[in-house]
Amino acid sequence: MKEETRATVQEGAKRGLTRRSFLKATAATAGAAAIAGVALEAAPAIAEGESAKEEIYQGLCRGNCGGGCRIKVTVREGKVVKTGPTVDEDPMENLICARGYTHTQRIYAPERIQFPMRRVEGTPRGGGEFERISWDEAISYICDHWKQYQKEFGDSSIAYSYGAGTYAQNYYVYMRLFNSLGATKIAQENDMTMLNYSWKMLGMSLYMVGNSRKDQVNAHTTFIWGCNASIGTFNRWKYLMASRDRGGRLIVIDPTFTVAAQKADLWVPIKPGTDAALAMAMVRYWHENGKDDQAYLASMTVAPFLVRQDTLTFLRSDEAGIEAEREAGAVTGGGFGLGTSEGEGSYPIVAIGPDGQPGLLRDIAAPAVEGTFEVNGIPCKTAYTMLLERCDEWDISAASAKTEIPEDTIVQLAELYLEGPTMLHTGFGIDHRGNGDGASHALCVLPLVSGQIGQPGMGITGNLAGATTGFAGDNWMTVVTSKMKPGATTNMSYIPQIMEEQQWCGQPMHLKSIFFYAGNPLGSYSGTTALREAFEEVELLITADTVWSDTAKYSDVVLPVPHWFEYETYRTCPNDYLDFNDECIPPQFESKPDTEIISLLGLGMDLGPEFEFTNAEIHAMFLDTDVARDQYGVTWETLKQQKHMKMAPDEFYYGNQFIPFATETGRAEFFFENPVPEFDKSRELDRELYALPFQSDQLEDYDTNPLREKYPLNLMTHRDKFKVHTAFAKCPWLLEIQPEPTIEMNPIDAEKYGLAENDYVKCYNDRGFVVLKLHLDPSMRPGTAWTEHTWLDDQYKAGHYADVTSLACTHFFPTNTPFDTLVAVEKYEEEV
Amino acid sequence: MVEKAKQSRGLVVAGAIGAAVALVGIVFWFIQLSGGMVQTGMRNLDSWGLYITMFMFFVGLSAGGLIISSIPNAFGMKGFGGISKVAIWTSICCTVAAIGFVVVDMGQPLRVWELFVYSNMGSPLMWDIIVLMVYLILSVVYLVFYMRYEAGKTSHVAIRVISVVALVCAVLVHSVTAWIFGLQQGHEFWYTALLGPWFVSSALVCGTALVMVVCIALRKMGYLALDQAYIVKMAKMLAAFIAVDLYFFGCDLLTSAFPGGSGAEVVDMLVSGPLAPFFWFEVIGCAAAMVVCLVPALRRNGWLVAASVVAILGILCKRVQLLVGGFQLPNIPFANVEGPYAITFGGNGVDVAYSSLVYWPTGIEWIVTLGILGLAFALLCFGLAWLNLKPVAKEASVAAKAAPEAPAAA
Amino acid sequence: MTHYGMAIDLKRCIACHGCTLACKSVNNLPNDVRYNNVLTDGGQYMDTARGTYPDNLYRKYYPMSCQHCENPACVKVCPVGATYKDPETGVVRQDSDKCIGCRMCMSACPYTGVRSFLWEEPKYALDFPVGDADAPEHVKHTVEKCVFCYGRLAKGETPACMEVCGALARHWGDLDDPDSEISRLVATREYEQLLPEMGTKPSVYYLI
Repeated sequence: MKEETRATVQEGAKRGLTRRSFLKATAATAGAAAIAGVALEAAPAIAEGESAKEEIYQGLCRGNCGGGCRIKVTVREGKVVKTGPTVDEDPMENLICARGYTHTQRIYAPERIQFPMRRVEGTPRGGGEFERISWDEAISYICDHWKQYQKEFGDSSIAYSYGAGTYAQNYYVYMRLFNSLGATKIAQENDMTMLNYSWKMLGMSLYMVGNSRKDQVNAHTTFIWGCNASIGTFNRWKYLMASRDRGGRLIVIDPTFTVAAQKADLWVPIKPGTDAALAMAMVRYWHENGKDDQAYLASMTVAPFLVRQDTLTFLRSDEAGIEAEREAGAVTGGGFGLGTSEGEGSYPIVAIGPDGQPGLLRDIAAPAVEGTFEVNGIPCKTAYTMLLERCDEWDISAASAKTEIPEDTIVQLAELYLEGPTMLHTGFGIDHRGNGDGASHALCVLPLVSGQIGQPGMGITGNLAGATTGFAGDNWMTVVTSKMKPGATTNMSYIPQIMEEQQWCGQPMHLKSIFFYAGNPLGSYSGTTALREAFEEVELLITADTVWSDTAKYSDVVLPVPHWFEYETYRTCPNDYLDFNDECIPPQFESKPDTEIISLLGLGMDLGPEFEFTNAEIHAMFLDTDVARDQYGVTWETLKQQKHMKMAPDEFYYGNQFIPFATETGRAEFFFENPVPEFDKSRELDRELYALPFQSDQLEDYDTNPLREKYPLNLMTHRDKFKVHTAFAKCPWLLEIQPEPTIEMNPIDAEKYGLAENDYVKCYNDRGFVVLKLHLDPSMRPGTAWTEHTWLDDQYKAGHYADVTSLACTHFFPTNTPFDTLVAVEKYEEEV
Repeated sequence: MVEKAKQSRGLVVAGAIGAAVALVGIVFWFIQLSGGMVQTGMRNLDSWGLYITMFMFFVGLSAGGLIISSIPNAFGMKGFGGISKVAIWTSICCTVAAIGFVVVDMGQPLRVWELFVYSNMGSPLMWDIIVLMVYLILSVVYLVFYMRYEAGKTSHVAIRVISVVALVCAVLVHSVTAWIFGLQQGHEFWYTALLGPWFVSSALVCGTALVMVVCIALRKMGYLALDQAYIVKMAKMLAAFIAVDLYFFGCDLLTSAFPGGSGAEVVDMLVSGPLAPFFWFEVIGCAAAMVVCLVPALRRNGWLVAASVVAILGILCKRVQLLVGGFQLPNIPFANVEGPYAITFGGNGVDVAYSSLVYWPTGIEWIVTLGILGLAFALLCFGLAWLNLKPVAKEASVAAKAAPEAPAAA
Repeated sequence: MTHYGMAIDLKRCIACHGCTLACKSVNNLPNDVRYNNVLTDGGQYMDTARGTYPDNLYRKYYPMSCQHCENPACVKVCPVGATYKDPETGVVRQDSDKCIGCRMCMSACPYTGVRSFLWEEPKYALDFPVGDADAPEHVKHTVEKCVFCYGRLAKGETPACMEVCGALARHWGDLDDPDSEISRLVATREYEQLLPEMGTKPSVYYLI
């Protein structure tokens, strides 16, 4: 059959082409379209569409999925009728996904918040009874309460918390208000452990800790590890495929047979929560077989640094008795000025030279990266030796027992990693478990020890890198006013503790009001049962949002914010362009852009003329820097005109002598001298443990947890291709394809628990429950199951997924740990 | 005369009841049209249902009835010519029902004129429409001629010619109906050359059975007189046709099952799958009917009527098997068949949708179907009441006279 | 002559459903009507696999819409020619103004599910038309399907699904032009076609 069809094609060719009228017409219009396309690029907001009545605008899709797509928005008769890709000349950069086509349904969604609303007094929170109020009433209601709280309970009684629901500049402007109020920041640390580790170790540079995402094409070997890449890093998939087209290989390490695993050259199923052991075994194997890149370690990492065994700090010249001046930290190559050290600086680092003698590292060409020494009477080891000692526990057989990966496969993985250029494409699967800290550390060590970093096709990518961190020309003074007051910072996971203790890090803290924006923590954060309980004592919950999210429904005052395409803003992250977002249609109903809300609240809080600004003025202020103007030719006006301005170079290879790490030492700092908790500074960390990677138990889903008897199944989520967190959850077109929350479970488990395909399943533990529709899927590792992240409250038959998860976290770089959840499952017998 | 008037009044009342049912059916047809065919059980992956099943069935009944009643005339055989008019009228009623079923199945009945303007002569459906129209007209002509013949206004030769044409057309009409299905390579269960002859044999089974039932019933009513020998003859023919029909079924099953490929799925579906009740009813019922027809001791009227009804229902079961079975085996059974328009029992995955009957009619389909049956019934009754369908005394003598000549003519 | 065809690289497709949504949006498709679906050849539900964990698992995606056959079963059976092959492009088109709603084409097409009958008055999520200004009208009780976005072709554009593919898995072009990208792909890559034994000669190639 194949032969036959091919023959037909060739026959067609032989017949010769007689291009007739249709094709001529085609060519003519194609030409016209191309010209129109050019006009669109360079010209004003409104370009001629295919029909005179059509207006074309540029919108930015910005739910922080990592894509950050420009959207071509078509408006007819004042209505947005179509959203689709902006057709770039480079199809690789045309990143829009299924969701990008559904904005019409979000803009005109019935669940839009239309007016400022206040919970009817005397009705319970979340009871759904709201009354419409005017903006004036809303602002004075909020400000009156805030002023009273400030007076009675101090500045820290007002808190704010945001997600990533509108990832553009408009969202930073909130800081201007809350900085001026000295308010408490409640960070929603979703997926932040691994990011923080990578930043601490490798520094945050132009593309975070790596090269441009486009550099993926240069990779020969790509380790997709802990990342559901076809969804979690969807905007990289074309580049992953391109590297494969060039002979590259994809290795997937994941407990679940994901789509990436399906596409991979090698899929290695790993026992969840054992990634550190595997990574450390690879390090040990490389060293044992002389395959570690000692030259790279010596020149670009802290490997040769001597670690004082008494204090676990780096040996410096003053301690070693070597005469030297204090020096400031290295200036980074990232261009953002991050990682520079201010103040008096510190004494230079000491290392051991080829002669076995200590000296200043900067003076030694080839320092020892391994060894135990005594310098000036102080017992020391190189940081690398300490790393190796830490990894020593994980020989191949120990790692195999831990990870349940065959020994041969571990060796194969270690060898494959060296067949570079190798990219480590990692995501947030690892830090969604309670032992993600040690594992994040271990994974980030791999490129350093193997030397697979600093050149094309090498380094770290995935969720950790490849996206830009922002525009160097941004004027961050925009978030600062003369009224600036330092405020406390905490993390959502600590809220129950704060509410109980009424203090934070030794300071009294009486949270009375939380302002939520750009996020839906009660839907997409974890431990919501505990959170709602904690919020009971918070008197005034305010949410600014576009739609009635779970959090908005639970709030006391709700402020309507326009859809993304209804006001002007711009975005610098996550792509290598500055992109402008048109006001495609005016804000609908009584919604007001965030910037206007901030202005109203600032004036309401008597913060003065610094809060008299329009949306355009405050955005213009953000771009009002010399760097923006002179180096990039960017102002609000030029950006508005050009809409899409290239900012970051494609060729950017992070972590070499030309572009050193954006850390204080300019080197990759895999050894942490003084690990301090990011938020809870009152806590003492086990400094020795946290100095280096480690494999520990998870917080809940560990083998010996007695809780397993009651709750035997590990419930995870997967990033849902039809949502971004909870956004898009109610788009009718997407619901057609995936109509309701599901749980996927291995048939072995389903049989064990007496469940069958299409059963409604109640998943529960002590914290809460959720009802999900079961689909049998042998892709799931027996003992694990997953559901989508995340639906809105009223889309579950009963319960909520986030209620089942906990707020438990580790404290160095806390994040929520939704995968680290044990549940019991049973058939849901109630009416569905 | 009193007897006749009573009989006629009874028929008119019965016809009126049928017409009333037909009216209800029409109301529901309008409801189906205005509210949409979403109210039926049909969906994209099983896009035909009860209506097309009944269409097939009624074309078969019609053709079968006409063939049976035409054979004696066509070949000048001594037979049951006395019932010819009733049989032709019954066929006409069945044809009207068949056309009715096609019309209610159409999404855009107001565009029916397009069939004649934009005819795609390559479409088996178009062939069928043409043949069906010709057949309907021919049946009417046949009836008219038969009446004129009885009145002595036309020659016996003319009747023989028309009856031969009608016979051919009846065979054709059901073959073409078979080709609507049998020429579709996309459905494992339908795509077989046997389908044409098989439809004809099935038509003969239910046609014979129908004529036999009608004859016995009308005789009992005193509407016509018929010698029992003719009934026995018909019973023997029925047995023969059932044998042929079952033989075709056996051939088809063997061809499907033998290679063991996807054809084996067909056999499984019928023998032990969702269509098994329809399969076994047909096979066992028809076999039993054959036994009744063949065993002289059982050839009593009551038994014969029962056997005929079972044979007719057996063929109806065959039609259900054919239609639903065609959709019961998806060509591309991959997941993501969701949504309210995709498949009758969708929403729970492919396997669930296909695990039992993929299609089952909804209330509105039953009512509309009943309406069409009512229409056909009303036509039948009114015809019997008002048209001169009874074998006239003269007719009997004509038939008697004609009969001895028959062998020579044949 | 031009013979438009499509080649879909199954090695790349990750079932993001971008094509499904592009098609829905651009053609202003009514609720629950889809010309293009991404099917999972695996377990019973979308995205699930079949087999046993971990060594014997299978899952493959098939984006599926009208195959625009060279020998289309549907065209032959339509009694009024409402589904017909465009002689200049090879596109199998559908005329909603002509369709009598007999659904003969639906049962004749071996590629189950690529056609949609509008079983009721089309419903839409929004109360105004979205998509292309010249998006096709959707008429109750008629049959619809993918027409390779014929209206867009006439304007020199590609089918909507082509402009979105997040995996760059879709290729589109003239199969009669030996130098076209698609002809070269079909000539050089291994491919499969759906139900070749049906003799329909589909113009959609699945590169494997």
